[in-house]
Amino acid sequence: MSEPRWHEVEQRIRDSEGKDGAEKICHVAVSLLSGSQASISLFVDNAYLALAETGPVALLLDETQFALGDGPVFEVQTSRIPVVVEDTFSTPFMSASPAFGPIVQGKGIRSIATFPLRVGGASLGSLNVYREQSGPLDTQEYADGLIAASFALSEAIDYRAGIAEDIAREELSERFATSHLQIAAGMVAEALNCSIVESLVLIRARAFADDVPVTEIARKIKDRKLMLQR
Amino acid sequence: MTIPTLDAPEAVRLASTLIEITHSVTHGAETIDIFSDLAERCVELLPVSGAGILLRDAMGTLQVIGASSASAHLLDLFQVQNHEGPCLECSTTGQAVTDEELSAQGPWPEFAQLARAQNLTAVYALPLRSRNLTVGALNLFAETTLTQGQLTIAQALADSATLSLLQVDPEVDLQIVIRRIHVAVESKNTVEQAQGMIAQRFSIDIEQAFIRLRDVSRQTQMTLVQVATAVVQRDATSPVSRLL
Repeated sequence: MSEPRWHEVEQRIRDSEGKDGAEKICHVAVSLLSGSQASISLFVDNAYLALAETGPVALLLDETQFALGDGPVFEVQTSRIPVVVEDTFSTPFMSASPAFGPIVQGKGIRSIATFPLRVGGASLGSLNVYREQSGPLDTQEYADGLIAASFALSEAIDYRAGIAEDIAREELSERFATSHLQIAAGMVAEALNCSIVESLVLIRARAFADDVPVTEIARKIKDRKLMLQR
Repeated sequence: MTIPTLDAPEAVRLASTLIEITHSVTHGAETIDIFSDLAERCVELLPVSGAGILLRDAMGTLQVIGASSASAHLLDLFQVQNHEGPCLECSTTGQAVTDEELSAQGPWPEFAQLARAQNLTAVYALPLRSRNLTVGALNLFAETTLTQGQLTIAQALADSATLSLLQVDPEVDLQIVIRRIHVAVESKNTVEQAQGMIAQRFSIDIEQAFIRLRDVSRQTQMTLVQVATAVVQRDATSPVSRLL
């Protein structure tokens, strides 16, 4: 079998410019999805927070959408699948987003692709790519966007856990995708009466503190050999 | 010459099952429900003790989307986590894999040992595919060997379920396939998180938690994923909150 695509995406992130992991992911998303700018926005307790961006336009457009409660970046926060605006000059988009529409057009952005940072019931934010040409994503771009978003999810959880570690090779693709982790996250959320997001953050923080993989902590919790405290 | 009447009870049961799968596929049932159902139907119709479904997500990672029992789930998960086993080979090559020896000297010694510990004597992996695209595998765990005819039936069931991913366009709109698998994996994640919450709430094991969720799904006529979503969101307005 050929090398999984995510290995290549991960390598590109490693080699990318950018001051931290989140910013590197944004730069790689721009290059993989033929964007002009990209950003990672977090949505925490209904409040917006910018985690990283490649330029001021992305930041401004993210902020505007959260302020207006309108646009794909706002919409994707409650979506399980990517939200793509193929043409910002189209009539349906203009009538759906009368306030945001003219602002995004004024910045020369013709299409927007947003990917949720989500695992099951835990929603943390989104990876947003702004493009100067209109049109849909092709299949490779769509798949690469999902891959980049799963790296961004790791970064978002690390950020919430207060961990500033440059992208480390700990099977990033598996880190937050395993069955054990989902079950453990549910158990911790129930025991501590917290959200699944908080529960994932606690598990990640514990794994970092103990210097072991996330899946190892998850397995202990699942086997009822460990329970976390707030 | 004997004229085939095809009205033996098992032939009728097979036909009914195919009709039901086709019905849920054409009526837009969720991918995860279609494949979970497929696993259960295999156990009902074929002399196998367990069945499991794996799909490859956008990351290229195999994900266990449905299984007929906790032990079938475990056998699937073991293959994914240990990177060995018939389902890995099958979903990579797109060819059916048969192992009726489960030998410690075979290509997947650790998996074979685990399978034998569960009294299994044969494991089959059938591709979930359409045209040249293999999206995953159906695993069958058996205590006796299956005939070629039984494997053909299993492949027919698998093909009918796989149509749910690929029916869109003859040229296969791969982007839609990727999206549907993504949604199925996300659904699976939500169900597992809910299982964890329910297991913790009632001090029961993960499989019992799954059965509780499934019972509530039947009582409320909500899908399993809808029930799981209500649990993880702690939705107090949902009927689920009164039942769990």
